[in-house]
Amino acid sequence: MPGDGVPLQEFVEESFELLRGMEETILEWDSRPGDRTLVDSLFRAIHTIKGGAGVVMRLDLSDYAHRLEGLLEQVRSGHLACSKELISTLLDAIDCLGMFLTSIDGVEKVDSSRIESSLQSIGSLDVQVSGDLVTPTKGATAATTVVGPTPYLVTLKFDPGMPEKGGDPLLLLEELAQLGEWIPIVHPGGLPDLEDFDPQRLYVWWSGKLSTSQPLSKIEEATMFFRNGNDLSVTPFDLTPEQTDDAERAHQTQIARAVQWVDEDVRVSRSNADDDVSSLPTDFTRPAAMDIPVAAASESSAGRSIRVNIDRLERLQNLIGEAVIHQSRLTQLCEEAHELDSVFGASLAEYFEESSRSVRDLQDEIQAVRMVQVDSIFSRLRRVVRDYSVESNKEIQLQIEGGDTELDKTVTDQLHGPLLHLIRNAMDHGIENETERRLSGKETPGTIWLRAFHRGGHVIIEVQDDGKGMDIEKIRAKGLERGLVEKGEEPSDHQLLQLVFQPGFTTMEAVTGISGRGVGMDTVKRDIEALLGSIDIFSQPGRGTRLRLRLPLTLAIIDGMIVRVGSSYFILPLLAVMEALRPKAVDVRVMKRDNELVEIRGEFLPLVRLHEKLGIDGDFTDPADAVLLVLQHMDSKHCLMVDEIIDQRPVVIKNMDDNFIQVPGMTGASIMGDGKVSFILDIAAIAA
Amino acid sequence: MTQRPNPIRSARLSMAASDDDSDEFDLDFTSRSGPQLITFMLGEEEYGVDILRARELITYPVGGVTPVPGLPVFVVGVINLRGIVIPVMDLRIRFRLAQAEYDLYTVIIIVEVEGKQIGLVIDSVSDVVHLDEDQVQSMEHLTANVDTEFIGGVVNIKDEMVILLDVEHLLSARELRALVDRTEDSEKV
Repeated sequence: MPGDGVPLQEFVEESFELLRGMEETILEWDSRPGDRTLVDSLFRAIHTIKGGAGVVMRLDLSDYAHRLEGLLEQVRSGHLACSKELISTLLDAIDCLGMFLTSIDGVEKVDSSRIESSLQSIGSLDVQVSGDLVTPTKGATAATTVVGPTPYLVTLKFDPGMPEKGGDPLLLLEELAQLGEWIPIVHPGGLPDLEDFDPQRLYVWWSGKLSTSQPLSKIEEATMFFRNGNDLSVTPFDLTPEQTDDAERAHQTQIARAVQWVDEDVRVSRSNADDDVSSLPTDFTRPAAMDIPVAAASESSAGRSIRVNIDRLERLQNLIGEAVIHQSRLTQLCEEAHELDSVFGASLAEYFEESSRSVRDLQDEIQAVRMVQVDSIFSRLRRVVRDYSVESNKEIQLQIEGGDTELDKTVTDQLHGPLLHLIRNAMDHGIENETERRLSGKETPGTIWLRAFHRGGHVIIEVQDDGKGMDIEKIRAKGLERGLVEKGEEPSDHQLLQLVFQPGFTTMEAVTGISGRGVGMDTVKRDIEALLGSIDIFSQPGRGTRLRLRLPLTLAIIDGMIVRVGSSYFILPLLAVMEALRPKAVDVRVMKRDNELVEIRGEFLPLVRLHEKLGIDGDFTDPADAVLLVLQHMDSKHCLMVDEIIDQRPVVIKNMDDNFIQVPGMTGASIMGDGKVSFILDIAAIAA
Repeated sequence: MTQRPNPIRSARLSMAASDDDSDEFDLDFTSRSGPQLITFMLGEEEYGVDILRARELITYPVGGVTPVPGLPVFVVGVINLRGIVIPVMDLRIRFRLAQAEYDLYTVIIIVEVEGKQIGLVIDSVSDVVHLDEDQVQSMEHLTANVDTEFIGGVVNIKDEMVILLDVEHLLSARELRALVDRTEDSEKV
């Protein structure tokens, strides 16, 4: 049965994906109303959801989707033009569909008044063109409502001995197909095992939906020659409970599902137009009247991918991480083998080199699988900007650049919150209203740029607006007031701007519903740092503000520097280490408040002794004996004192709070070549 | 060359705990209905935890435990269990009992609560016993000098008193958060 074995979960996931795509398409259509392919793709998506909803027996969703499909049909046929009202209705409908989907697991309820109002606005748009054709018919038919031709339920149970006698059931099926839209399903329930299979016998029966404008007599005429000895029936196709008994209704529901699935099949078989589909049973069922254009490229590429649970990928990555760890252990062994027997050692090393190349490639490939385009989160923000634009009467356009830049899935998943915040800030505080903009000689749709690009092993994401920029003087005053800036200090503008990342810092007098409460920028900063990234802010009065997020490509593996303090080993992110040096004793000076500073080429940097910071024993107390690492965090530099540098190599990050533990001062752990756990130091905590 | 620690030897308990059709573990208790306890020694006293909470037993990997700076002393460190980083808590230190030396016979029992795993250092495993609910007595009979807040009751098994350890409480979010907070407080001092 076509509907069986389709898990509910899969339907929900796929539908959500479709919804995201639809939302994107709607917004794109808003900017390019002339592009008919966009409407077509919307139509296809809603049609798929409708079909799926029928299969999982969510008739309310199916019914709703059907109404939406009807509206889109009006657009497709050119009766309804793109308008702001239509776009809003469609976007609202996307939210409603999302609500249906979240309600499927039974936790949340569908807000029926919301659906009702959405249906009303769909209806009012629909009515404009089609009069009373499509009016809300509450609780009536499911996805089977067909306007125009009458649908019939045709059941064909032929005599099993029919082929033996020279009869061909397919003849009737073809004949029915010529009468109108004929969608049969095969009931293969009676199929025997292969050894008992007799090719001369008929083991299956058919039922199907025939939509035709021909009178019933035409159908009877067609079936006339097959009446003898066969059990054939033709009844009106209807799902209303009053007219049919339960058994028949169940049967009809089954067909209703099949109808939707066949629709899908037809589209697939069309998209693979080159394939020989004539042997498939769906071929002769191809409804002539259906006209669903197909974007072959997108659909065929969808067919070439599979859905994989992220947990499974994570396990795969864990395993490859293990393999990488074994590799580093093997390197050691190779060296030892070389000392014992140089010939054997050399050939071992050679093969080992090759195997480690494969492991590295494997690692890269698995990493690549986890990469997703940032567009997946950018496009969601497009909707936010549009909604705000409509509500606030501030015209704002969002320009997306570099949406195809790829980032690790875990990183992108956690970026939505921070980006949403930055965009809202830009809309609320950055972009001025129309009058203000005119006065300062700016054009009116204000622009927010959302950019992504690669730079030096990182992905940079920028949120930039062409609004009024930050008020440096206000920030300075606020900073003085809160004691963040000490009197007599002369911080640079850039340094002052960093104050906005302080908890509770706001220069806004008025708090709006969107932003201005002073909670936010510090949260954004924390979120970004949790992703091992950093955030910076640039602003020019009157020209706008730019927030720059610098993010690692992945969270799973970093290049690490392994250092030793006493008997403990720690890992530092290599990107944070600017240089390593042994200072002369005279370079270390004690400054105010017991702060030790190290002079490096004329620059004074605070000294942090790692063993003191962590409360463990180290080999050295005099920096002149130890190794100093210059660490960069944001735009401040620190000198970290360790006993020894052991190695530099890629390390696989293991998350620790999965298992209860949050270790202060550490961002994670990794497993070393000897199987022991080492901690990855949190640069921010060292700098603090 | 650094010495690789002893490979962690382990005995999985999950089979005995959940798979009814497992032959090897088809002891008499599988056919009965009440909870099963895995019991272990801690100093002079015998403790028990719900066997469904216990994932596996490993020998203490001497030299393979990485100390964690900045956490209370009873968190003796973290271990690598087949690629997963698992914190290890010493119950003797936690319950302020006399500290024992770790040797090759010291056992870590890996328990799982809400999908999170933690290792508990114990002296040795005693038994797996079946428990009837009415065997559980209230805590008034308890003379043990341990924090009673992690004790779920006592049971009498073959005339031996077994203290039921409340693992959920011991590893509850509140308890663990307090653990980190406490550490942060001590850091500030």
